[in-house]
Amino acid sequence: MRRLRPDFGLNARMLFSVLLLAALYTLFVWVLLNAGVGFLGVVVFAGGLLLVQYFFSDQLILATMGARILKPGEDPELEQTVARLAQLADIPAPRIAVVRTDMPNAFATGRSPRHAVVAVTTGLLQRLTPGEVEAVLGHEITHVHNRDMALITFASFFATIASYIVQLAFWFMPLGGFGGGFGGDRRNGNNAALVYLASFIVWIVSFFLIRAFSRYREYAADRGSAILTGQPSQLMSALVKLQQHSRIPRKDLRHAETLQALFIVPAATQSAIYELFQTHPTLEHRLDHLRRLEQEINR
Amino acid sequence: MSFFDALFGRTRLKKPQFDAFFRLGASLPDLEAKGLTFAGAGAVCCRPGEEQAFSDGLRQAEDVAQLYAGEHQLALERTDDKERFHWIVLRGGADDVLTGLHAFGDTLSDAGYGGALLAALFPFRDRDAVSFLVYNYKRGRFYPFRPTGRDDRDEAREIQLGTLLGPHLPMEAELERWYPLWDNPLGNA
Repeated sequence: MRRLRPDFGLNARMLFSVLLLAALYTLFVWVLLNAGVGFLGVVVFAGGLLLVQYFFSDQLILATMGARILKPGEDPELEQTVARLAQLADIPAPRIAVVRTDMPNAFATGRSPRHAVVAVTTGLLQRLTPGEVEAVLGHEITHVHNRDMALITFASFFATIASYIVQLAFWFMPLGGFGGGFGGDRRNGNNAALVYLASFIVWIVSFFLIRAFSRYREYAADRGSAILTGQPSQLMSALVKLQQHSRIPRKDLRHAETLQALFIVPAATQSAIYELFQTHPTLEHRLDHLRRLEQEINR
Repeated sequence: MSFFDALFGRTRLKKPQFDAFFRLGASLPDLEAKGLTFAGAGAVCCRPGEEQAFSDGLRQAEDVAQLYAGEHQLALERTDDKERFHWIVLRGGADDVLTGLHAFGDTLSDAGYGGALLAALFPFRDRDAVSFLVYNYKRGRFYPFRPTGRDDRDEAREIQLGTLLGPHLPMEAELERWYPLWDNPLGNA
């Protein structure tokens, strides 16, 4: 395995997005405190939710996806591949789950490497070659190694609080709740508006920051897969297959036709603005990144 | 759909496009070179309307196709599938099948029911199985469809075909529109 130099550009961008997020959150806390909100109450409430999310989200995800954890010996080949990659990444071998669906996909979950589960769909196992499956597993193992699930959960902490405040305010403010309303204390009314505005801004800005951060983690996981398997080209062909396949519909034309007549043609172009809203970089950007890695490895 | 249609909620079916339809005949040698052999059949699928005028228009179009089939020794079948869509199938040489099916579509369109035309389907022998080319009348483009079971398709080969045929036929670039046609009357062509 050739050593890859750390990607300073990627690290810098990741650090930048985290710093921005931290600055945003600090400002938010300052505004909340100055507005005299029962800050402790909010933090305890959201903190409780966060802990529940932290400890149970993996089971929740596996249950909603209908994933079944493989018993040892059920798929020796798959276990072997995962164990080897985990060994290379120096983490305990995660459990493996299989989702019975034709849609080819894979994901990792679990708050720490010890609790991690790597899941693949039957559609993925059918359609990808063993080399491509290994590359995809390398990507997921890197997510586990980098503790991405826990990081994103924590990064979303204040964003979650802000979104709760915005939603609560949306439901209760017109009824005169939130301490303000007509005839209420003037100062309270102003503060409520301030908290609402601050929450709204934090919610919106953190949405984009967290998504940017998530995209950088994806690049890092692609990079990790290339380092673990030593073959970026396998991941590239797997990504192309996954992305293209999932675009081809399985719904019959005769059922889709009525919809089709009504549809305004969706924009097929993936613009820079489109990417801002996504948790994953566009296929083109990921391929570019992997192509550069390949050149680096072959040099 | 125009802006005003959207504003007033008007649903108007798009007019069928026939321009690209005949390019299939001209590009058959190229397809042959890529491993696709025309399997001697073609079908058009249309959504039936309830009104009498539609039935008249459909009968008129079928009469035209029947007449053409008779002159050129083509076998003609008509079926209604379980989705209640109407199919007309022609079997014979490529040029005759294309002309016959076009005559059908054109007549139906002239009768004012071009919007009912859903797709045309052409089977090709491709390696050890059958790949279809589907012609979408509304888009005026082709896309590949290679079923491998009751509701399974070989996307890898389809993507490959999409790239291979691109230089020869107007292919649908948006994969989201590559709708399958399961259980069609050419299923075991």
